[in-house]
Amino acid sequence: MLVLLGALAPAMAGAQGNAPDEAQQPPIQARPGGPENAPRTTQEVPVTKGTRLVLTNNAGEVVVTSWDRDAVKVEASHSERESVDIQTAEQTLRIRSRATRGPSSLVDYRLTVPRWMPVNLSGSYLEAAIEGTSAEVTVETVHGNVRVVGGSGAVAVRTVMGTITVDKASGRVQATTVNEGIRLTNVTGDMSAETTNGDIVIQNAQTSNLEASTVNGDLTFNGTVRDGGAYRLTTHSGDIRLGLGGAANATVFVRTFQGDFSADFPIQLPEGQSRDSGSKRFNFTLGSGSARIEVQSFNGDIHVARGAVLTPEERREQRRRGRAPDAPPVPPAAPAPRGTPVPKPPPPPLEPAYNSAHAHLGHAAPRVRP
Amino acid sequence: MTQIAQIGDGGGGNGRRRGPAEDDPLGHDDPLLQAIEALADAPPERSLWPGIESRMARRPGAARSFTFTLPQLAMAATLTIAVSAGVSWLAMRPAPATPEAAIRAVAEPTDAVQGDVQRATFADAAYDAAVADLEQVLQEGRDTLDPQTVMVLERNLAAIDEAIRQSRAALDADPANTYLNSHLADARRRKLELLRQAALLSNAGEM
Repeated sequence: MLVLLGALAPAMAGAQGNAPDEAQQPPIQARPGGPENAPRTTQEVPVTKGTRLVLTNNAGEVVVTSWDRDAVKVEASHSERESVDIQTAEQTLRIRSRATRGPSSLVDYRLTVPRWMPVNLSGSYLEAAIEGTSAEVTVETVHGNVRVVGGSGAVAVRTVMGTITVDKASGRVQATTVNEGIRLTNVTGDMSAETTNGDIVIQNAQTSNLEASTVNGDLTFNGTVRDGGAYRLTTHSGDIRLGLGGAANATVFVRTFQGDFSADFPIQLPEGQSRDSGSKRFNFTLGSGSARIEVQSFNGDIHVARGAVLTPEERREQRRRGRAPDAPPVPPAAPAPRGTPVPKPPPPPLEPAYNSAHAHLGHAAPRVRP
Repeated sequence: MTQIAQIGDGGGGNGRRRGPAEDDPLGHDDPLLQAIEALADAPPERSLWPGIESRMARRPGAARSFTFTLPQLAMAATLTIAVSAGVSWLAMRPAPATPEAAIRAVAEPTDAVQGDVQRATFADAAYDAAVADLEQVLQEGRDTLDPQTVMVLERNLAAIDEAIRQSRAALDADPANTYLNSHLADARRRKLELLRQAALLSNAGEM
């Protein structure tokens, strides 16, 4: 993959007549070998509690696992042109890839860190998988998928062209990408997820504060809706599927310009608003209505279930087995007369990456090579 | 009675009567036949039927006897089982759920009288200037970015622009729609953020 992308980048640049300046745009070399090969650098560094790990790697894969020792084990795989610089200062363990000449190219890392150690990774063509830590996690990349299992306090992941997967984190989770999807599962705490061109799936969430938005993409939420919580799910061209998790007390605000609305329990829409045509802006209350849930889709449909909704993977699996993805929704008890039908324009054309976002979701972060 | 006893005994001693010939054990000289033939067919002294009839009349509930064939019995048993099962099912099944009452949704407040509403114009000079500046930065720095990054950023900016265009068109038709106003504002904010991110990337040579 690396070789392919490495070859592709200059080719694309040439095709567009924008050959990158070699002085500024480092050539990405073919991959010299991954973590499966014998590492070129192996070092173990003792650390004291409170030390933070800061790793900067222009390109490559970083796999971080945890152990109970107060030490960091660094295994790096790279070419002879690269070296790994490890320094400890001011409660910070810095790991940096350096090239003997020119900018650093590709280095793959396998790190083992104390569970308590906060982890901060950054790079341009960085692919990251972090598992087992119980501390803060920050990852910033441009090209590359990020997968985090665990983490607490603040878990912040930002990428441009990469899928984000966060599982079993607690605290404050922020996931931002541009051209791929986001999947947050078993997260406890506040959540924000934002992408432009990709789906967002939030599964088994335990949160009182959620903000999820995309432009071209679907939104799926299943989780516990807590009294007094605030939940906002918005998309422009995509469907929203909301599972209330048996919420007893919530006020649900439904807004769509020309999407349909359905629920698996009877709802009587206001007069003049029809579930399958026209603009809709209404709210309904469950119990005391203390939680506030806003679901907004300009062009897409909105489906609400008292319990859980199917995830995209489950829907695909049901389709594969030849069954209808969902039981037919219960129509509103007394649908209001249909208003003037508004033709639904086709959504904006989807980028190829949009489809790849669907494919990536739910899988371990695939390798991205520049 | 004595005669009959004698006949029964037959004088044979072993219970088997023997006639003059072994192949004619019940020959015409048999005393039994002779005794039977001697019996006279004497009519009853009076008619017995009236008495029988009167006694039958005094027993109106006298049971009549019925007989069934095996297939009939099998059919009856099957029917009994089916009826019992049906009754049991009816007795055991949960009570039919009462239909869930529909939740009444409330329309969000209609936006006053449209003529009284000052439509948000989004004619924000500061915003437009910021967008123009960032677009300029992106344009100047695009050579420092991976062409694939540039392509993705531009496509996503185009997607946001399309969302903005659609929101504006919807607002033209429904100027007082608060949702559309906030949706448009969100799209504009998103565009600005993406441009800022792109500018940062280009300034840093991606990172």
